[in-house]
Amino acid sequence: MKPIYLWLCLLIMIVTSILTGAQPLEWNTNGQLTELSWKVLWYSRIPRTISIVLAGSSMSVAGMLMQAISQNRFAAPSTVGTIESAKFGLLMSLWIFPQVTLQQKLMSSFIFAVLLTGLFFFVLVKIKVKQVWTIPLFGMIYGQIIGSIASAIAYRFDLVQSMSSWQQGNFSLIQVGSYEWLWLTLILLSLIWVLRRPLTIMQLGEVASLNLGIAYQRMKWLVIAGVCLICAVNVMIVGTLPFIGVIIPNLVRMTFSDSMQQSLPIVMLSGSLFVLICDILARTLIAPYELPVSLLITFIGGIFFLSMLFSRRGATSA
Amino acid sequence: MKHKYLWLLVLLLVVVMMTYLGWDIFMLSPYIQVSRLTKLWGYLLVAALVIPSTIVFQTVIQSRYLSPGILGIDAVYVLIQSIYYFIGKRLFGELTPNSITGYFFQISCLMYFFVLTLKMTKIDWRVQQQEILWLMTGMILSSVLRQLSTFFQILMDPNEYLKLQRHLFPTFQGLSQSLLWVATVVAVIGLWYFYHQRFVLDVYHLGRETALSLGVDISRKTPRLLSMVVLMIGTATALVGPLLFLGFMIANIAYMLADSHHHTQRILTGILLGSLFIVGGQCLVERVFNNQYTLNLIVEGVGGILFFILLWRKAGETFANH
Repeated sequence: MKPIYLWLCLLIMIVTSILTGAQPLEWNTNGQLTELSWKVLWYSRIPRTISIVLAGSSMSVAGMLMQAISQNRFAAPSTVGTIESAKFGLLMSLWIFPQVTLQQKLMSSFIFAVLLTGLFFFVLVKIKVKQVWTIPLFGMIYGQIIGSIASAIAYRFDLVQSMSSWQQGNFSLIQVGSYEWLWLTLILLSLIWVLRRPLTIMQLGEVASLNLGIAYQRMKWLVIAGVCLICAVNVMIVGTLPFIGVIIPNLVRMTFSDSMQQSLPIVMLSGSLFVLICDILARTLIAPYELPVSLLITFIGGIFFLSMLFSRRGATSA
Repeated sequence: MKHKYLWLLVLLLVVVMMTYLGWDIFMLSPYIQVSRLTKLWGYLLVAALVIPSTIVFQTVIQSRYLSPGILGIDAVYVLIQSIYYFIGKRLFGELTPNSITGYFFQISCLMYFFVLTLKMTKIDWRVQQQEILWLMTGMILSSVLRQLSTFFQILMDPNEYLKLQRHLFPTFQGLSQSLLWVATVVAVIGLWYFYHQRFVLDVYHLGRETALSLGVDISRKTPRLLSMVVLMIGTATALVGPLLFLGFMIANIAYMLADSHHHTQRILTGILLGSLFIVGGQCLVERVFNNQYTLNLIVEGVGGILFFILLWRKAGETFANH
């Protein structure tokens, strides 16, 4: 499949997403949208579609970056504990600040995500990893530990219900005034776009990168910070979108190319496309009600992840 | 007896148990006497269910860093509870999920989940590293289950949610007393089975290939041992709620303390340590902190930190083979 078809698909899906919803869009006799439809479009549908595109592309790029700096194809924000750390930070912000603003939430979430993900990578360097699945296995356990400490704290201070809104990714509450922080991911994505050459080289590992003139350690911490910021914004606005970071970059790698320079736009495209399709499905399956999109993403993504693991086993044992 | 520390542990446990019951237990009303004694029995049961099964699990999987929690037992439990409070209440009325019927239903679901993951992965247990694939399958499936339970929890009536919330977090204080008899039976059977298999377990510890060449039928023995682990952990979960790190933490301390690799000694040390920890911690929570902090918070915090310290200390050594 050529990228041009992907662009076309994305366009069609964006239009579909704008047109799908409980309130049908109506035209009056002059061929113009009625006032109500216009408001629905402007305050709910368009913000929702924009946020889906931004969230999907940024989360899949975040996964791709994690894979580049750990040289492991199963690394992603959801498999090294970054998402759980971001949630932990959000929880702590509710606890620390009495009247918490969005900026304070984001700051706290970001700081905790960087600290805890950094800790994981710090330990990871010391450990000689022999199997590809060591990182996702320990990373997911690490995420569970952080998550269960967070929920134990939440239980103690009666914050469990605030926590459960971040457990699930959901675009249904997005409207003008609540999603604008997601534009931050666009800045980060363009920054990554500028850095795509050094990032491609970083996939080769520390020694090769140093030889080719890349300040590996500095770049690595920069990437971790960027990924954590993306996750913090996404968790705060949308909630958890699991597995996207693992499956999208891997699917692209299988069908297109290994070079980040070439595959970066395709990863962004297919990430948004995947989340768009899932969200449209979530809106239509039990219309006029909605399924949470993360339920569908976990389901489809889980199947993909499993089939990836099994195809690897076939490859190694053959 | 050459293991003096075991006697020390027994002595400590007796002291802690006496403290928990209170020196003035015989002066108190019969109601308090019975309630304290049943709770104490429950705590000892939890230790006897969780710690041995964790130790056996770690021996079979050959990793000290994993706990049976990652099999997704808690995810199945939470999903069943969520569905129950979401729809079951209307269908079955006031039947509590922690009654005996509910317990058998939960255990059969758990076993089904366990067999499903085993069948899906078609593991050859004789090959190293294949079990990790099985564990990953369990983890991924359990994250799907978790999403499902969150879905039900969000749809739920807030009053029902509050009732559910009691079962989502481990409560040592309010352990379900109707299950004590079943749990006792399960604990006895499990401990007897592990004791019966103690030499097999010792051989397992030497590594899969050694065990194979010493004549252990690994591909048949492993699923049996693991299903016993699932049964015991599932029972403990039904008793107090999902416990993730208790077993992991105590088992690792027990390895440090027990100066031999024999499983009888390891498991005995583990049970003693576990009872000491739960009863002592509960004393602390009830008498000193006035129930402000739950024991669970302490367990998760300390267990999480210990996980990292262990990983750190092992760093550099090739643990991929262990």
